[in-house]
Amino acid sequence: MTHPIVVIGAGVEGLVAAAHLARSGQRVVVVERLQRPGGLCAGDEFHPGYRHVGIWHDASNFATTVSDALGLQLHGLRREERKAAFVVCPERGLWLDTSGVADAGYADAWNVHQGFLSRITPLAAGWLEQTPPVLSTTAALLPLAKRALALRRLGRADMLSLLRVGPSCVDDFLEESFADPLIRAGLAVPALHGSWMGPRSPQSTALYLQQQALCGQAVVGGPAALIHALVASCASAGVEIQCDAPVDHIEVAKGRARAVVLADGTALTAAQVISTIGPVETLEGLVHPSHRPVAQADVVRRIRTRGTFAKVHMAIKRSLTFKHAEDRVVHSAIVAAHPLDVERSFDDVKYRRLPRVPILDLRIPSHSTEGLCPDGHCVMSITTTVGAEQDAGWTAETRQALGVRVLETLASVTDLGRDDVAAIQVVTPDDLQTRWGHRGGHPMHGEMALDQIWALRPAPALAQHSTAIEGLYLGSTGTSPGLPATGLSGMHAALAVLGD
Amino acid sequence: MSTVYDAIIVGGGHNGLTCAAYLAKAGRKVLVLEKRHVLGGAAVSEEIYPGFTYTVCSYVVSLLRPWIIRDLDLAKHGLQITPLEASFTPYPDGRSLCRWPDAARTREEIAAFSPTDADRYPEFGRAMGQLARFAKAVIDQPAPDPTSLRPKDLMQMLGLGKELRGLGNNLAEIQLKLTTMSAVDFLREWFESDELIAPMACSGIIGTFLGVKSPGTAYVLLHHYMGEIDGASRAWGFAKGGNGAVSEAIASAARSFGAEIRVNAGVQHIVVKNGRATGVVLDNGDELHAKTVVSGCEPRLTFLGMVGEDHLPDDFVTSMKRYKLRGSSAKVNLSLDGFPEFSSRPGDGPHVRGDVAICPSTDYLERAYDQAKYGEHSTRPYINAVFPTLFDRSMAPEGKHVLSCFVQYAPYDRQGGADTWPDHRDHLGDDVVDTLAEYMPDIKDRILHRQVLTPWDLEQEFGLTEGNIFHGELSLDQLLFQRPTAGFARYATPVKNLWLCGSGAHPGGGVMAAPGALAALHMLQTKAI
Repeated sequence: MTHPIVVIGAGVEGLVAAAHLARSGQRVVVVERLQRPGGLCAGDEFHPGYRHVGIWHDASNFATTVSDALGLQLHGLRREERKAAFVVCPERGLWLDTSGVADAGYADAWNVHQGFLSRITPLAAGWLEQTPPVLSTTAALLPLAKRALALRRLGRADMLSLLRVGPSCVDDFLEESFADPLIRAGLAVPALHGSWMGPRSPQSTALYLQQQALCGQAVVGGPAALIHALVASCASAGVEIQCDAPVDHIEVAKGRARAVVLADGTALTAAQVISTIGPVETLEGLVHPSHRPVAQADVVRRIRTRGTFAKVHMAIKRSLTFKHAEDRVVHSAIVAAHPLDVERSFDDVKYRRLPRVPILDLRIPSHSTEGLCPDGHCVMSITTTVGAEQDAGWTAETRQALGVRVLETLASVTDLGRDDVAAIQVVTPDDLQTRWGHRGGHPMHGEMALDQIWALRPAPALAQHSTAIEGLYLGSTGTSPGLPATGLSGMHAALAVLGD
Repeated sequence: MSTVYDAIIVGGGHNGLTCAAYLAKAGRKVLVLEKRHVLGGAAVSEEIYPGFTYTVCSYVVSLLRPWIIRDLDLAKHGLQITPLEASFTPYPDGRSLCRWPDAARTREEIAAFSPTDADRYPEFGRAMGQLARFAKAVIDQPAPDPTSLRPKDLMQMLGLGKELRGLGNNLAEIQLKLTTMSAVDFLREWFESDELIAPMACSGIIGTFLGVKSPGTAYVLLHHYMGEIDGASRAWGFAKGGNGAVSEAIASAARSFGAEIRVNAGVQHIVVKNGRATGVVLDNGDELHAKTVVSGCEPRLTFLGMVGEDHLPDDFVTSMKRYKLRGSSAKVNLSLDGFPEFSSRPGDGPHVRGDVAICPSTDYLERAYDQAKYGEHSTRPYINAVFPTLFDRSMAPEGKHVLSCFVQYAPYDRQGGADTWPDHRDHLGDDVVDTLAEYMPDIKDRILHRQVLTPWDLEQEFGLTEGNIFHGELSLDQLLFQRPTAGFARYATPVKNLWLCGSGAHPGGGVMAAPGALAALHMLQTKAI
């Protein structure tokens, strides 16, 4: 009997890789250190009677090519139009959709902006949905030349615009269309998750364009529902998922990955290993130093994984009304008054302190998914920008302080009172590191920056998912495209295994 | 009938003069018009206080291309450049780091902070030196145009591609990182000691409105290594007589080739008829005619100020309005009645015969930037200071000194508006002196005169729009084929017979003279003149 392919990590990427390999006739075992599959996309009861839908609360990046390839519709995956986000600050609010910006007087600018995006993003999506090309001075130039030609086919005007704005800072780019700071803040915030950048940082436009390129329809029920479908798909294809099975190390002999050894000493002999925990976690954490190829050790050491992301879940004992939202139901909101406030919040990251005024990117999953909380109550799922490193450390006090600041910010734009809140759960970068095993507390296993995306993610030598250790492949969000829950990294890693 | 020139050059800065010299050398009839009473633009030396000569705006000669020095025989015209001997960084805790041309000495200095870094420093230098070769290929020719499908342009891109491939995988990867990473992140891949990283990172931000931790700032680090391949130990140097002497030498060369140069001759506007530039009208109303007009002024000023929107395509006007200038630096020149003592390393020894960088940590630099981001000047700024009087005794009376300080950040668009700068000029000056006094406790008692040039002053006095010393930010979206804007990076403009030759053209700012020379050579080559 042949040895199975062992997939480390049962998050979205691990489950995608496993399902695809199993459907291609391979025997697959997935090992997961936590009690349940899902990783950062797993839903959880964070307070008795209240559930969230994932540390990542949005699965709209999930690639349709992947769900089609895995037949996820058959396993219950449903998608729907994304709900418009509401951008709000104490003084005013604005809906980020055609009618909302038209009310603010930006109908034409919005059309021009969306028009540009609709021409640029298919190209970017096309690139990001494939395994990145090899960037090396000895590699064939053809794949690169093809992409250069595709870029040229955009037409001169769009190509020039893209080259001009790509390296610029996203606030400058957005300001060309929108004088209104609320629109700019609302558009920029979601693009900056996982980066070490504020909206005034150069190259942030590239991240904005990448995010726009991959963002598709929402998954009904959020990431938790996506995991549900993936687990079902894995089960029907015969994948064995072992939970509560932390990996101690990967056994390497003669430069080849031979087995995955669990913490309890069990050795799973493997035909191949796909690791969907981060590249650094894998190559520094699971491979004994004597087996680490010298040439790649430096490359791995240089991968930046400074987390800038925290999550706050709130159990609220009644329904909530947003100021300025009139009679529309808010499903998704960004709380930020001005791009400079977002920038200030990034400054706080740099100086290792809590955000003075947190910027919130929130979802209210209980407005669209039933059963997450008692009737008439609601669940708030809030991401905010916080540095992994805090001068004060991640103590009970700093965590509580963060929770309080988020609550105060939320109270400034809603009718929320302190007594309405049954519980607040704060998930810090420190938790991402200790509980979920994310190095540096980074949710995507590697910062989003021009030198760490696409063919450079996590480094040129590792961008095609194979490593210098034969039979060991990388399939986490630490590889291209790097956005959460796309399924593309896992899929490409599986394809790399099948290709070899 | 008045004279018709082959070319009228607007602006007698070092680039305008260089362009004139090259055109005149090729036998063209050239006239240079300078608004001020002295030549040199921002590369100018002036006796501001009796006996004290300041290199008023700029402060060192960076990257003056050696082939231009040879082509124009500038040494014969009096140019003498002394390379800086050292880069000195004092820290508030009394320690200091000096980097010397002598590798062994530098190693010793760095080892006091980190032995590992001391080991890696030469390795870093070698890698950067090799990459600088590639960068040199880019700055010594007109910008490549990746959008063009003309065989000649494709060949140029192919040539650069070959150069890049020639670097090998490792170096090509470093090159990619240089163009994308922040100076600090990039240096952290090599070094661990913040005391070393901070002064090295500074060169990535000079003249930009970016912080040392802003992506894209790593690229400029290369500039420091370009000098090495030209045979000098360092890229930066002092001109005897200050930077005005560079301009004077170029002007002298231009005159020797027959160029005519006028000062106190400000151009009111450029005359455009039927889409062609035909000459200029001076501030005094005189109209001068020429077959071509070449502007050494900053692009937005040239097009929106001197040509006028009516003569330009709409999208070009838009791109000029979008062109980012956002000056971020000030200049403070001090006359001193004696040499001030650095508490960390006293005396006027070789350690101060170079540039002195006040940048004790990367957080210090980032804080300085953050203040500017929100419209204030840095109360503790990055200061790059030189004592020109240690090289050239003619710049101050016997026993006295000049301290020439480049100060960043001082945002042009400060809170309350740029024109409130006169009310804050002295605050800035005081903050600079206070900062210096933390390293040179006796400096306050030694100051005889203080000249503070805010970005607003640089604009008013020298025509540097928004006080940008480089005629436009040196950010990735305004470099190479996009300088000043895509489609017009080869010195030509939407107006026929109107050309650009200043720092707003490829390859950009600094006392480099390359835009002026490349513009002239390109005009000659394309038979535009």
